[in-house]
Amino acid sequence: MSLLPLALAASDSKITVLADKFGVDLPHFLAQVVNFSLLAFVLYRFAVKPALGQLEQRTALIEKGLADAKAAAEAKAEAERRREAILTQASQEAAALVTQAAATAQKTVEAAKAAAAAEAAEVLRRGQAALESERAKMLAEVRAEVARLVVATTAKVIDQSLDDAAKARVNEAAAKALAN
Amino acid sequence: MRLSPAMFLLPAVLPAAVSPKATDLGVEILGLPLTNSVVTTWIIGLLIILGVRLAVGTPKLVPGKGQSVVEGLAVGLRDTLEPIVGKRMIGKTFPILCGFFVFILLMNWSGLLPGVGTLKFAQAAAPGDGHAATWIDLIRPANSDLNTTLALSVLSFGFWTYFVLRYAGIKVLAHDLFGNKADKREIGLVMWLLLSFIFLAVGGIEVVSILFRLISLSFRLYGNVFGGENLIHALGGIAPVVIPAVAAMLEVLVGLIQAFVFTLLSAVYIGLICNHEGGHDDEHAH
Repeated sequence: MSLLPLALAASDSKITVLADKFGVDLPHFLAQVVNFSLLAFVLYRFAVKPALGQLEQRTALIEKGLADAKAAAEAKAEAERRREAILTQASQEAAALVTQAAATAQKTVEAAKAAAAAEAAEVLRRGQAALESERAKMLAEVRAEVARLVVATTAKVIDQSLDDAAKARVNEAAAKALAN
Repeated sequence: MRLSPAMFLLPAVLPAAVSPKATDLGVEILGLPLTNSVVTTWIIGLLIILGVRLAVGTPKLVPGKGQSVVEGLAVGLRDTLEPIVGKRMIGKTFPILCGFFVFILLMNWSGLLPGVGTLKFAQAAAPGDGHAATWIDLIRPANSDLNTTLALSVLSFGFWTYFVLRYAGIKVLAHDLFGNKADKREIGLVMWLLLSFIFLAVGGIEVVSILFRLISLSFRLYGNVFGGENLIHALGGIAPVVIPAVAAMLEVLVGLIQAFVFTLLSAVYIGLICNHEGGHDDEHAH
């Protein structure tokens, strides 16, 4: 008989004794394999994996939020810079407009003043002309009245009635005399 | 033997040593004789699933307190394991490593619950034996049964084999175990050939050490938990209060450390072959 089977048999016997001492047997060993596998699967599939999935999703959202916030801050700074530039430009344009408006207003006021002065001069001239015309008219009427009075007075003085032709000559003479 | 309610009681002091093997409860389910450790595994497993499911609920983007705790623990464990197995492998290995850690930790701590190790039933002696009935633990921590720790180590070994062959390949594994890592240009051909024999012999030793992981992983965990149970029982026999509480606090630490040791060793075994990015990362980092 070979020594190897004997050695194996002895070894097998020792293992059997050891297994019996510690209560190791195939059914209970397999039962514990199944128990652990089942627990590990259920635990990971229905608790750890979904929780970690949510965690990764949340991490991605936070990272996106931070990136968005950074982009928003940069956009805000850019908008601030643009606003400042626009305000500066608008301020410069407003100042130019104010200057231009002041100059235009000055011109307009001066033109209005000139027009008013011209119109006042025209009104004055017209008034003077009307006054002169009225004066001349009044003078003519006065002369005519004076002449008529002269004739009437003369007629009374000489107690002579004058015919129309004589009256006309006297009036004319009186008028000429008054006119001179 | 069959169980009956009359058999249950809470013994005041039973300083007898804990049996090294799980006890058959005399009940069969689907042909499987139930032992106290299997029953404990089911109860604690069910409580773990219910507890975690209740804590997480339907995961939301804005997490509740329970979801935050589970997320924090899962992320903490993942961040601890990632440098060991590497970024490439963490997503693939995390489910099983997380399972190892949670299962071992809570099964270890389950040994500290009231009733575990104290709730017993009487097992009548064989007729004509002449001995009194013995008290048997009704429930027993899963990891104080070698069947459980052996199952865990076999699964760890199986997953190691799968990950190594799937993601590193037989060539990388063979070179890692037996390959001559010396530089032929630096040491010369003769020395290189001599070293090849040494590397081959060392590879043989390495294979034995890899196979021995089945024993070391399972017996380390079993020994610690079983030893802790014995310690608490023995101290409970000396003084029923205070002293067992101190031992229980020690067992809380031992349970955590053993869960970490098993999980980290499983991760290290995978990382040793599959993680070749750590060195490069370190080089770049420096």
